[in-house]
Amino acid sequence: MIDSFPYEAWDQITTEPFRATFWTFGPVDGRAGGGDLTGTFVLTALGMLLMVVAIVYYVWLEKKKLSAQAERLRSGGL
Amino acid sequence: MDVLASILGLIAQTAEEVNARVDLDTAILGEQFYFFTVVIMWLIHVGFMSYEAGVSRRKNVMSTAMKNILTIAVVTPSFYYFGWYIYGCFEHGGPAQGHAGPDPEFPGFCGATSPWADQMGPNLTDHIDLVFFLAFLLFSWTTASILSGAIIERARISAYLLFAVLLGSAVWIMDAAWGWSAGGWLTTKFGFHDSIASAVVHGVAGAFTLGVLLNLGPRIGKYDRQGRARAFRPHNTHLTLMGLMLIFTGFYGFYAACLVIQSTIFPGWLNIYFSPTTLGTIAMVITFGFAGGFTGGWFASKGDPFWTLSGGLAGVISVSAGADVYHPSLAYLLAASGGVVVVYVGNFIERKLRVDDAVGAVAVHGFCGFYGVFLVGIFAGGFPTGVNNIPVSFGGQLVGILTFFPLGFLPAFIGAWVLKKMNLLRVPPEVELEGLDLAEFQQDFYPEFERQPEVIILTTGEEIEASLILLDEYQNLIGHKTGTRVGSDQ
Repeated sequence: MIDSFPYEAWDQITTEPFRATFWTFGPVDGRAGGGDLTGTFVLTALGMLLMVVAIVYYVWLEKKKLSAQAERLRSGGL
Repeated sequence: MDVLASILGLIAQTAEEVNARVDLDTAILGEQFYFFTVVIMWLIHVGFMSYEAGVSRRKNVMSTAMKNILTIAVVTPSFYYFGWYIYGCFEHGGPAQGHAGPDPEFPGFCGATSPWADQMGPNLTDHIDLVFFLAFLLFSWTTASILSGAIIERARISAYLLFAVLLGSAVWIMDAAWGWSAGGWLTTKFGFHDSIASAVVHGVAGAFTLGVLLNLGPRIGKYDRQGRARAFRPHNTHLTLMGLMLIFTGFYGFYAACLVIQSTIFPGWLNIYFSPTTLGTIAMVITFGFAGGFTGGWFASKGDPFWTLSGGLAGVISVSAGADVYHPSLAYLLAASGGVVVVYVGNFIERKLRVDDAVGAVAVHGFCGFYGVFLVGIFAGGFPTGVNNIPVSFGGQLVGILTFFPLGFLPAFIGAWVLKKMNLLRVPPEVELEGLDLAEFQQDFYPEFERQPEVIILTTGEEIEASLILLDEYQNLIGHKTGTRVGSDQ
């Protein structure tokens, strides 16, 4: 399922829209509008989740680093 | 024999087959065009990084550069997941109903911008949507990076990244939907004309930057007790100048990407509103814009290198809005005026308003962005804009300015105020005085060179280390000792 490239159908792929999209989890069975497959939504949701987690982590990690350094400097007399 | 067979094969094709091949070639030509504008526009970000790293003091060089690098890490997904959808579906102000396009001329565009749309993944029948998205993504990086340089040496990287998402994937693309698309309400109702994004990108980013700076405050030591501004000299002037030249080079890609390429589908180059122009026209305007801007900046600043170079950028931004219709001589004259005005505006912001804008972004991008739109109302009044051929007018341009300034300023001011209250906007003053690099990365990026402490010369002639005095002054200014309030490190 991960490798969804339609090798067996490759020679039949034309410029017809219903055969045009072939990304991972995407439509390979000739269904029009197949981009609305559940797998695509799941991938989108996972991508969004990574984005949000990464942004929150940037904030958290920097706060931790800066607080520690500021404390070191204060205890050192600055 | 092969050649003969090919010729015979061509003759045997029907007109329909030939048309289909020409259409495919045209689409692939467009795909290549936007792809290479994207490659050239990367130079803008190389330039922003070099420029800002050069402007910073050596103790902050990597934390400054890292902001530019991580811009790409956060704006790319956020623009893919919701920024592009805003551009496709908010042309009439609010979101379109469902996924139907608001403009009957382009019914599929709104539905083509959601991240799960057929057009946003590999698609053998679509050679345009993904490269067009990428061109806009590079515009988004650029817009976010305009803020980046202004807040160096005291803003948290993470605070900047939150602003980059807000500005690069929401604020600017909303104004682009309204006034930088053929179906936008400012275009269709008021004939708003900003062909290469003077206000749409630069003006709005400058207004946003001002909103952040008013909450962020100046770098420690920037102003003395009498409020006099002090210059922090760039640690590497050559890197700074090279960065600006790279930005200028990348701007040619930016300008080109703002056009719709000539093809069998569009028989003639079009601007973003689908009004006719040529690639040569805009290339001449940008080139004369630099020439005029350098000239104006040089004379107004009496040869100051920073303002001469910034004058070039200011000049181009001042003529970008009308780049599709300006004569080169007009562009030269108007850009020179932009290069002159920006010096006075920049000095006013620094010395009178006491806003510490490390790279002059509010003056160069903000003021000149809106100035460029204002100039179009005067010098290009009457030109038809967009598919409805609404004539450009001073009033229409004014509506755009009055819409875009608050759109840029208010989210930034409110967002920065909230982060300030949460102690997430600014680094602790001790860290700022020592330099951000040691705190952020636990290393010095010029290990072969000794770190020279900043000194203050007393009236007695004695030299003492500045950081203790500056910290004391800063604590007096904010009214408490840092680290003494619960949850506070500012």
